Amino acid sequence: MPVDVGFAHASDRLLFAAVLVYALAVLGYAFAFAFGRAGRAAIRAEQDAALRTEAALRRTAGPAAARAAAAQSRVLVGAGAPFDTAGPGSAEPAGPVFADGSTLTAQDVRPRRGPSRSEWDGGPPRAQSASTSAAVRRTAQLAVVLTLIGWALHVGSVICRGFAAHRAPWGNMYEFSSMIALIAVTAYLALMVRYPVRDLGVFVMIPVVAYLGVAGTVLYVPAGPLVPALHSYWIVIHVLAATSATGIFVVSAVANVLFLVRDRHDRLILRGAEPRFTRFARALPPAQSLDTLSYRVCAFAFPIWTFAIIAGAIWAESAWGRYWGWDPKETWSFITWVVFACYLHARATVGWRGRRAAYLALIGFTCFLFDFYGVNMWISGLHSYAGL
Amino acid sequence: MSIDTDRSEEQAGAELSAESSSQLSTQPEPVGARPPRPGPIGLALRFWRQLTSMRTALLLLVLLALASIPGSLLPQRSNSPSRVAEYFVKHPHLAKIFDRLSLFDTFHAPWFAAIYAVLFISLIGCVVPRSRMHARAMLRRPPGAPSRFTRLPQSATWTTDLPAEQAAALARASLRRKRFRAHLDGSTVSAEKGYLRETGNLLFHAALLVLLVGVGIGSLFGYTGQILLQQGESFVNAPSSYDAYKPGALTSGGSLSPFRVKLDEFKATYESDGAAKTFDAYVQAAKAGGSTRPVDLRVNHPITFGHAKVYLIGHGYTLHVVIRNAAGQAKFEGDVACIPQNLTTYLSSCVVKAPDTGATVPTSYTDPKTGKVYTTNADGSPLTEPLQFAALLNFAPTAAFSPTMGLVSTYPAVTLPRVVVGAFTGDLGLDNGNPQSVYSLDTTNLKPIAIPAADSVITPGSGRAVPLTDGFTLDVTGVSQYATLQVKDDPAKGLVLIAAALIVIGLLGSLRVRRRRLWLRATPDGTGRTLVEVGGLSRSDSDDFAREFRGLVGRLAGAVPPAARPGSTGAEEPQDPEVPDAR
Repeated sequence: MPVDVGFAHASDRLLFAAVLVYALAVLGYAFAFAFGRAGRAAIRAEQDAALRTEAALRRTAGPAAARAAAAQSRVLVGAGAPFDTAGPGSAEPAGPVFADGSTLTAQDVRPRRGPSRSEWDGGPPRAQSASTSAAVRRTAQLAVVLTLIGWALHVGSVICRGFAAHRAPWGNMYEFSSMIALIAVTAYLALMVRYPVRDLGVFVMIPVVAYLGVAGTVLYVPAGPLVPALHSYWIVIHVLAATSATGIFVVSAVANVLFLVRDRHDRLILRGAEPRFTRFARALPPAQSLDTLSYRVCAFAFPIWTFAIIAGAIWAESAWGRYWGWDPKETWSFITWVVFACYLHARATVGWRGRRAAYLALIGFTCFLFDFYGVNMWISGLHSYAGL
Repeated sequence: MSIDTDRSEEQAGAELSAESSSQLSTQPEPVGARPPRPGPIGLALRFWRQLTSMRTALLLLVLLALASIPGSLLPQRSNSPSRVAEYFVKHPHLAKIFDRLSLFDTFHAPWFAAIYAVLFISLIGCVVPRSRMHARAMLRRPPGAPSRFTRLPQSATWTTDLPAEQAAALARASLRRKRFRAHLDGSTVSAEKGYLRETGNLLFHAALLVLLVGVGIGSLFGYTGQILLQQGESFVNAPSSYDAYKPGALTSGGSLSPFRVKLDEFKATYESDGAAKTFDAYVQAAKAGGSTRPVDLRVNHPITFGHAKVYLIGHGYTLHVVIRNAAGQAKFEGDVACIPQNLTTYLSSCVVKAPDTGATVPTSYTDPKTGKVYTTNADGSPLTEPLQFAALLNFAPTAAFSPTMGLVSTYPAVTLPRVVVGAFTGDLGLDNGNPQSVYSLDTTNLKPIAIPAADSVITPGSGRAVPLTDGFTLDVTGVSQYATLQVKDDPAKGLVLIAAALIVIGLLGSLRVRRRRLWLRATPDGTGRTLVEVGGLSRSDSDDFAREFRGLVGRLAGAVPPAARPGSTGAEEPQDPEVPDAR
């Protein structure tokens, strides 16, 4: 069947429009991140102070005392929180009382999924919005709306591409890249429902825009049919799973990089040093939250990636006559899988959690990129038809 | 290998905060806590614990990933033997070193096998005891309540007007509805949920072992064979039929599933830019004793015979070559399969070997001892040898001539076919008993035949032949196509697939399910009311547990309603400052 030129053009234009709208969203996120820092900085200055106290105590009284003091300060800060109506001396509550002195709220009975703002920020609950100016908040909201619009355009572009070529629109490098970017944006939008990650939009959307830019120029190929080896419904399953996993890993990698930045800052503070870029690092969420976020996203994507490899093996069995043959693409998928398995084990190993695990995850992500692009560019193998 | 996030979460937790959580665990005690045993048994035990530790597993996983890299960067014999040979020509010294290290057979190298063997021993050493422990934990009641709930990461208290036993029973029923395993002991409830996490975890690792076993069985008992079928040819599944046959170590040649395949026609279509559009091999397939059925054999659509499958994996051109003598009699005639040199344009090369032309030519013999040259036999008759020809044909389906590369092809389909002939004469060595490939020609003992450049290019079917020596001519009278089929029999494929499915299911369980424990104790507070204490602990990724706990307490307070006006209760119990909100 010939390529439907109308749809092909529509797809290209929609992608261009999507990139443009994403770029506008980046500006919005950047503005909100840069000028919304004042509100967060107050919390984080407190956190820095706590860290310095802990560091000082550790030097004078030893690590155990420092930990105990840090824990106590957290409890006390929690007990003094404004939501707390059951302070000592006030009217006795009729319901359950928790260890930190708080009582049940309506929110607890129907708990929201994902951390609350205060849990995320690692500090006491407080009216966050009060310290952020209305303009900043509006801009951030606008950026989210722009992301949604860009996402819709992006989805349109992918669908049109499918209609243009009469097949699943992920048959070559350009189409994979567009799909991966789309999944990354989708994952970020989905994450926003549960996690207060609106502040991090700039870090997700800049890579997405850059990536789509490269995809639309360097990797671009016009819509067209596929070689016979790809005429199979497994292309829908295998490639969709592989691009989904990769797109989700993009978000995890972003969180990991931010974790490393914040973690380095915290460690320097603990050591009593005065780190550079401290205002930037302080504007990031606490290391603990970023670490958890990247782990969760990763743990979500890993089974999908496992499934993608298995689906690929099933397809290889019907196309090439064997389910596994150590083709370079297969080898690198395996390497990627093993590195992420390392990461998951490292998270569970004392002495490897945190920084080292984060480095492992980033190595895994690099393997991913190599698997998707390097293998096609530099190594010849059975997946070479994906073209570049 | 320790395979679970729980233990270390707890170790980390114990390190960070109070030591309470490790006491509440059913996990094995940390290795270092056991007193060392003296003697060789102690040494072996220590070694075994080292081997099955998480750190070792981590190291082995990293090693496995690193070990795979050369397998992807260097050509591998199993995938592209020709590129390995090329590498040997290009880098003779390096190639020898690499070959010593099995780097051209990375995935079959002993050191690669050693890494995964140790990894799997480590895995077994962890899965077996943990399975036993998990089974015990599943059969047993949830562990009893600790004495002080305030030492738990999460706790709450309230008072109720209900009697203690009734309060506990109601709480237990409420927790059961939330699918907790809850056990009532007097007025204390112990509850646990999320056993599927460890089940999934163990399932995942056990399935990995099954997968490896399946792969092993497949390579031991299966076989792979490749066959080149020209149009009109048929083939019967037997080891001797194949051009290349690779049986497993324990495959018996007589057990190949019996079937026959005949290629009627191969058809390829291409896009205008030369990209392949469709490949169809129209074949007649028949099981032994069964009727013949026509099948359109395509890529992605193999024919299945039992657990053997027949795949279309390649195709190429066949030239019909005729060598005639001076009298015009055909002395050699046959279809010669050409090997594509370029898979995009199908520029191909073919080898013709004509050892029996019926003619003889004078020859000479040099005595290796004396160095004397004989041109006649003892009886004075001239010394002769049979005249043999060999030819290397380069075939372009759509020909173009480049000043630097000579004949090239610009399109994979036959639109402007041309053949460039290079011919040789001399002893082909086919009678000396050494096996040779029909697709390659060793020209070291052959003499090239000088053919004028203008005569060496022919159009198939044009009738214009290339002159050889002694009045012989070589002609290409037609072009047809052949298909390369692969037969693969892997008896353990089903097992591998099941293991793969279990791997995903197990992973989902171990990564998505959270395991947590909850205790509730109801005690009369001496004022006629009942004090209800609840404590909780998450045994996995605990970041959401604080929120879940609050929700559960809300639920329990619904089942065990708080008294309207509490007296002096546990709310005034001093907070334990050492226990942080253990997030």
